[in-house]
Amino acid sequence: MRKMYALTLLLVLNLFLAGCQPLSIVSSIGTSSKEEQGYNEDLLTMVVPYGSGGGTDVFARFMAAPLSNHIKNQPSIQVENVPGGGSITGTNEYVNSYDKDGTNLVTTSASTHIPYLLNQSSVQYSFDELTPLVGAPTGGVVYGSTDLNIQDGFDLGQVKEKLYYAGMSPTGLDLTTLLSFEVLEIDAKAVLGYEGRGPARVAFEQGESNIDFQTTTSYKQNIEPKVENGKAVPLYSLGQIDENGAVVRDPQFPDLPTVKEIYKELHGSEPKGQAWETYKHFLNATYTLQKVIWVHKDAPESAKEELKKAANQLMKDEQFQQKSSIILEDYEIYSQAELEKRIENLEKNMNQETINWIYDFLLREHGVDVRKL
Amino acid sequence: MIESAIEALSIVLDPSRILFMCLGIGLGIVVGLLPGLGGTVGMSLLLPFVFGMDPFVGMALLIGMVAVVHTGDTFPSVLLGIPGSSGSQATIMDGFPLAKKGEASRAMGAALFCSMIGGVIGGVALYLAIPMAAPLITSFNSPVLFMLTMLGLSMAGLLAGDSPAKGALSGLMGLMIGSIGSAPAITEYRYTFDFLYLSNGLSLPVVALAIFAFPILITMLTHKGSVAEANHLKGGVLKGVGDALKNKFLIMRSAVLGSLIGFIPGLGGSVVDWLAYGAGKKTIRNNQFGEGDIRGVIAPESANNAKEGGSLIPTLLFGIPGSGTTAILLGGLILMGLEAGPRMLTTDLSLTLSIVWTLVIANIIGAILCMTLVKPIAKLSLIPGEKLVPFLTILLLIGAYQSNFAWGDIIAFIAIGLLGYIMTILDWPRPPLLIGFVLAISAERYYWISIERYGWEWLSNPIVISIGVLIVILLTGGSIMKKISNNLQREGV
Repeated sequence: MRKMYALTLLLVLNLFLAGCQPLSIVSSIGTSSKEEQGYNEDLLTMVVPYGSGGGTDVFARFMAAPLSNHIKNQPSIQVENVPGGGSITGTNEYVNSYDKDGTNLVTTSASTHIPYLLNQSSVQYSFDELTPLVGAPTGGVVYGSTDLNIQDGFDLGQVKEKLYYAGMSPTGLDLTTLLSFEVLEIDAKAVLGYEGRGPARVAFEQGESNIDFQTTTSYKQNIEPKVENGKAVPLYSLGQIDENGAVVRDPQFPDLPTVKEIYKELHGSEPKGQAWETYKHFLNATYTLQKVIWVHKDAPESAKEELKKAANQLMKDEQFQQKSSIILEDYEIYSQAELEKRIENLEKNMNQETINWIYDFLLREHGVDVRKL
Repeated sequence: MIESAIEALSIVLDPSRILFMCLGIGLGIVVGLLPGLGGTVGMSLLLPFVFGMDPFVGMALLIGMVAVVHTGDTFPSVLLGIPGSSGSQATIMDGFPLAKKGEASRAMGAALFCSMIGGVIGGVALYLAIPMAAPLITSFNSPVLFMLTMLGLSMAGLLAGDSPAKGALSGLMGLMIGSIGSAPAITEYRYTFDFLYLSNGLSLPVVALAIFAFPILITMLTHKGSVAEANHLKGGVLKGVGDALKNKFLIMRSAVLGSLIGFIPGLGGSVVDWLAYGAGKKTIRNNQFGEGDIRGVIAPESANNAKEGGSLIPTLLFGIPGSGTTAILLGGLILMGLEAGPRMLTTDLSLTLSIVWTLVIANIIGAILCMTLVKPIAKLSLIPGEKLVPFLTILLLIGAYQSNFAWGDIIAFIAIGLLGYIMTILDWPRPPLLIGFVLAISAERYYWISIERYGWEWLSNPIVISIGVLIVILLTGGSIMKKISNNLQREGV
């Protein structure tokens, strides 16, 4: 009999461990009559449609405490990971089955935004149904090998060697870089299928690729030392989209020209046309609005107001600014109003013409038929 | 280097850090011990706590946990024939037959001792690799990685048992299951039948548990009686340690193999136990692998703990995670205000060295702790199977459900489990299926990249050719050698 006790103990322990997981299936403990009482929660859920430990998960976990500090009652924000389907599963679940009572938030990232922009059939969420609260950008820098014998991005027209680019997938973060090649008419052979940006960087070091990009922190950590040692040349930054929808220099790389400046130098005129419009659209959704925390648009007004207020106070919170420099890569978060405006603009820019163009581009250049996804 | 190593040791031995390391060790052993839960689950449990912690304390906690998962996971593998985590499947092959003979304690003793030595060797490998990691990692380009996955797949042939054809078919089945989900290079979904659950492919814990544990559950019910056919347990832990000491060379070899495979990014360290097992089977003469040979426990157990040291090299220095566990570790680093990369060798060198020490110390403490647990836990093998089954079923289902928290996990577990049961009835070897499953995506990925990048030119790369020759020798050499030795035996030499 003692053995049975031991087994029961094991079982209980296991159930306990399973229950401890932050992703447990605890649904919100909200009550229905909160409309009259105003927003007075003590537990919020933050859905993260990615597994634990990834960039978005780390971002969400980091933001939870400072955000809660500015919400009335200082509710604890419990992170709930719902991984799978390249973040589509979790986001779908958020809009479909989580209570729209203002107690459930969701954090999305560029790889959640791209399938939405591409209108993939598995996507059931829409930015229309969501109200953005907090948003943060990241940046990207395209650099090349010194073997290309060029000094900077303006010389890209003189490259004699065949360019190889190592990436992960044509419908992931690489898309924006591939679009920048298309705009600049850089004839780089895209070798896709690498496991991540890290392995792609190793491919660059091995000489398997000679043009590559990294996002802000990774560029500063891994590539800047190489630039100093003369093993890599920065070419251009992908830039950021400003409030008016124009491409501007990245605040983290004020000395690097953007795609726009390189184009002007190479072609003597401002970039225009569908490729350029599409590039800006995706740059906005994947870099300028890389990480966004949302709440259901159908949540009670009082809840949304309280959350918006908290998001705005967060921006002014000096302690938060100091602590967040690593997670936010020294960028600043947007004010809630600005963020909302940016998302509205993004929605406005989405038209059938852009979608058709990107479908055609992906099919022609990378053999991906988005209609079948 | 040596001076900073000693300095790092003094940091690690600080009482508060030792305390956190022990907490980590405790959790690591528990998640290892529970079938289905492994390092990834342990990591996700600890992640919320490391937020804002002093990096030395946080790392003591995380690495302490990682280091001993493969020490604790030996228990279910040996006692019940169910993998404790996805890294200890090969231990079943001989550990479980030993338990059936009533020699569970002996097998556990050998396994734990080897886990300890393997883990220490892994730590040393990490230390030695620090100065030369960068050139080493960049020397594996895609064609070489592709050939290495082929080498791994050819190991499936070695584990095929009596019928190579069945082994090959089983491996191919694994490759097919592995190709479920999105293709590595082109956004394209295969065999997903419009289920979003399948779009990321099946996860390793689900497949590994189903293929090995599910059939055991059925066998336990049908073959009334306990695991151990003998009524009393013979042989103690110390006998096992003695067995291990007699095979010093095998431990060394397997541990070095383990850390090397862990070190190569993108190869999927999760088959390391099979590779060590296969290599042992190939190189040891007069073995009875598969029927309860203690050396069949020693080889994989030395390798799976050593792997962790190796796999930390690409993780810490390049930010390239080799497994789910190390991927979460990277997130943990960021939460503690650090970033993996070259800085781990310069400004953060003392932290890197403290990780080495933590690995070594945690492996020793973990193994000793487990050895004291062997005696009570080994009695599990005396409990009648039908009483164990309900507990195990729930444990396993929870384990499977941990992977994605979706119903699909449980359906996949049952479907693959039935496949595993059919394979046991038909006497088809299951290890090749698992190796095929794990290596499917890497093989496809690096093949695609090699062709896209180099055309057919890569076939003339000297390293590719030498690995190719090695594969041919492995596949044919065995049978030739066997013939020669059979002839010699027949002639009575």
